[in-house]
Amino acid sequence: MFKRLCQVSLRRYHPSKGEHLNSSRLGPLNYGLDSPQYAVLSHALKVSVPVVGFNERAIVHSLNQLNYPSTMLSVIGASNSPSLLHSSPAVMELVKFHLVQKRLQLSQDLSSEEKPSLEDLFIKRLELNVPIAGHLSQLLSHVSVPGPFTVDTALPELHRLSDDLIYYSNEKDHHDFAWYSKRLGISCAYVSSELFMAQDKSHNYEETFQFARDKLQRTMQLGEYYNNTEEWLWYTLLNSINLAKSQMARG
Amino acid sequence: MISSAFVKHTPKCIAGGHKSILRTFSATSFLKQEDGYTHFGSKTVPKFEKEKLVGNVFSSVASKYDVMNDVMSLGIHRCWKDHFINKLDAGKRPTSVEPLHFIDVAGGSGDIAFGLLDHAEHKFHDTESTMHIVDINADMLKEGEKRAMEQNKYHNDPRVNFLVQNGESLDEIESNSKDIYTISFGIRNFTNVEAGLAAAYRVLKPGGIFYCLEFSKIENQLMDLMYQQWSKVLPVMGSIIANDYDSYQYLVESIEKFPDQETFKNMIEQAGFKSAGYESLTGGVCAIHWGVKV
Repeated sequence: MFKRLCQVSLRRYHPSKGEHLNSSRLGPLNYGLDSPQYAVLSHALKVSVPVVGFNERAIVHSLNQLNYPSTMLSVIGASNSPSLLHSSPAVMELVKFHLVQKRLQLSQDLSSEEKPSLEDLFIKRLELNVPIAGHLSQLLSHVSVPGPFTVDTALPELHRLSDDLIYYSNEKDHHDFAWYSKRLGISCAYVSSELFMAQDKSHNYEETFQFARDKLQRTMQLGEYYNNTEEWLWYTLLNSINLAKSQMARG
Repeated sequence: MISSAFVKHTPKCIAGGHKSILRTFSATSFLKQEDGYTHFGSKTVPKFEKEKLVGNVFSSVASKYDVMNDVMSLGIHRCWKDHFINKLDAGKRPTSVEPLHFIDVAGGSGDIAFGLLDHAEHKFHDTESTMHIVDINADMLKEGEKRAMEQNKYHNDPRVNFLVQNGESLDEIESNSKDIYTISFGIRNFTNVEAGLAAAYRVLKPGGIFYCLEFSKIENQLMDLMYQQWSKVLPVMGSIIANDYDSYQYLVESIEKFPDQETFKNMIEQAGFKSAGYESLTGGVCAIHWGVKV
């Protein structure tokens, strides 16, 4: 009886993770870790893309290696619309998979006690690009072609990345307009660092990481200017109100 | 008075008496009529008759099928079909090992089947993949064969087989034998849609994909209003062009009866398919649904 009462009291009147089955799907992707799509695309990213780049040959190579039929190309590309400016829906999915998987990888193995700094996480994300760095320009050309893929996938994924970078780091977050400007600043810093990395020939991409650190520092400095300006504007506003009040009190 | 109005306007009452007021909460309840009965447009008819009635409709429209499709959809059906084929993007890639085995169900006119084979040939130089074009209606199949003969391609081709088959059972198609199952504007005419999905699941190999193009529910209210007005004109157009009002009246009513995007997606998942999804076209006038047999 008591056990039953305890069970009843565990029910909540608001949505709770504990009362729902976790979805097997991975974020914006339409499939989970145990799906054949995940198996093929993760194999392609690990093995085929570093060799042949972001194209259909990479996926076909992985399909052959894993003994999947080539219908999997249609399966993989099913959630994308064909576009004149992209080679195939399956390649668009490969690009999407890269963006999502690397973002999720960023938050794995993080210590729950001590959060890393924003700069560490930012550099860690760029390091995840190293195996495919030789084909980064291909990737960037796919995500920057104006069209539904950029609007529906690439830009939201960039926003999710900058949001995760702040959320999982020890960076202070804000609940005013600075929430947007901070994410926008980090997104810009990340895109410019990736563009730099695509052309970087230095040993172990040292120049890219230096560029990224400088860029991030400048963005943070910009944030400081923003905070100072905001503080000054508040001060001026309150000062003006007080001045008006004192003038009115004088009559 | 109230009861007489109810009797007059509730099609389920034909199935008999008190059952007509039963309400269910299952996702597909509106497709399931009382035992032995199903819908035929807005009418309720015995299940064994629907197959014949649908057969009559398509025998009647077969010769003017293309003209009427153009008139009914203002030519947009060609864009939908093109999008369907490009989105599926199927064909044996030059570095792939095995050719693909397609089955196009309710594809008598052959436009999707020939389009898929052309796409595979032009884009991937695939001249090995095979195609089964299946339709319950021999008249529609003849139209497809006639078209193949006229274009002098895919006629007497060992890769292409025309087969009269009921899509709900696909008796002559082996289990686990097909890579890609396509059906375009056909599944809403099935007497038992669930049986059709089960047959699709049976004939597909693991890793095979179910791809369906079908009319759906319009998401925008203004567009829906315009479509409702347009659908009133369609049977009249049918009577002018094909001298057949009733068949086109049925086509319009069958579109209204077909489930919306989410419900049909759930039905695909219930049939056993994974990673099911859909894409609405032209504001939801029709939709592409897919599912994967894992």
